[in-house]
Amino acid sequence: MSLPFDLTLAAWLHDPDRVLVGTTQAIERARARGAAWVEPDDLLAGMLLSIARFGMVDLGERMIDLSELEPCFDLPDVDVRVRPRYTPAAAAAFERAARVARADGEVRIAPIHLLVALGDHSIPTFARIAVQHGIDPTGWRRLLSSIAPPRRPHVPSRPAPPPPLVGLEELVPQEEAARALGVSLDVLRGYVRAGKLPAFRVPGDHLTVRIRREDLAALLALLHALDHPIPARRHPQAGAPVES
Amino acid sequence: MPLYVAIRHLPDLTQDALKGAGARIKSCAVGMQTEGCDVRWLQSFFLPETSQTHCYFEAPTREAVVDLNERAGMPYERLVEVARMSPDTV
Repeated sequence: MSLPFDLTLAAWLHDPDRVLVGTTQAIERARARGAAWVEPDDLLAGMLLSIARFGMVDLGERMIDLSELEPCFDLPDVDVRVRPRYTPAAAAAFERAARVARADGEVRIAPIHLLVALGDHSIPTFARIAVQHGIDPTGWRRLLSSIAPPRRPHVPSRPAPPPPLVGLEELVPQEEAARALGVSLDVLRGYVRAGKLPAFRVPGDHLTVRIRREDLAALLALLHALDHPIPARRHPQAGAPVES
Repeated sequence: MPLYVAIRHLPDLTQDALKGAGARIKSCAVGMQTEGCDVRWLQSFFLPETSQTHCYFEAPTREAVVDLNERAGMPYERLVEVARMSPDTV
C-alpha cells in the first residue's frame, strides 16, 4: 500500500533537520582528509550523502551514483583530533542557502537549498556531476526545482469543532459512501473510526450512521490528489492471499 | 553545566547571514559532541538598536565555546560566563 506522503527523497530534500546529517558528513569528510577546513566541496558531498540511499541519489530525471564520484566519497577512518572549521566560502554557501530558502518561502534551510547554493563549477564534486550528467548550474537548479516538497498529511492543531447541523438530504448511507470510495463497509467503518471520514447519527435513530456528501467528496478529492489508488472492491475468497 | 554568552557586534548582519551562521554553529556543535565535548548552543538574541547579538551556550569550559565559534567562523567581542537567574530561582 502506498503512503500518502514521501518518506524518502523529497522528504529528506525538504527536511531542515536533515541538514545536520549532511553537515556532519561534511565535517567527517574534512577530518578524513586531515584538513583544517570544511570546504564547499565537503558541504556538497555531505548534502548528497544525506539524501542518498545505498549510495544513489535519485533526482527524478537523473540518478547520481555517488560511488562514481570516488575518491571523494570514500571515507577512511576519521581522526577526531582533526577539528576542521568552515572556510569563508563554505560560510558564504550557508548564507546563500538561507537566501534561497527565503525565496522558496521557507523559514529554515533544508538540504535542497544548500544543494542549489552549491551548484557551481568551482566546486569539484559539482564539476564531476556536470561532466558525468551533462548538466550545468542552470540545469541543476531546474532539476532540483522539479522535485516538489512532500505532501504531508493534514494534522489538525486543535480538536475538531462539533459537527454542524446538516439536513438529512446531505447525508448518504454508509453503503453508498463505501461504493463511491470503492472499499468495503468494514474499511469505510475503519476510516470513520480513524477519524479520516466524519460520520453522523440520524436524529431519532441513533443506530443509523451516515456520511455527509461534502466529506465524502473531500476524501475522494484528497485520494485523487495524492494519486492514491482507490482499491477496487474486493471480495476475497476464503484462503485467498490478502494484500497488505 | 556552565553557561556562557558570546557578545557580537555585527552591524551589517542580514537575516540570511544570521540564519547561515546559526546553521554553521548548530552543525559545529554536533561535530564537537561527536568528539565527546558536550557543547550546546541554546539561544540567541539580536538587539537591533545596538546591532549586537547575544548568543548563549552551555559548555563544560570556556575554551569549548571559543572552539565552537572559531569552527563556525563566528567572531565575537566578548565571551563571558553567565550566572543563571529566572523567576523560579528568586
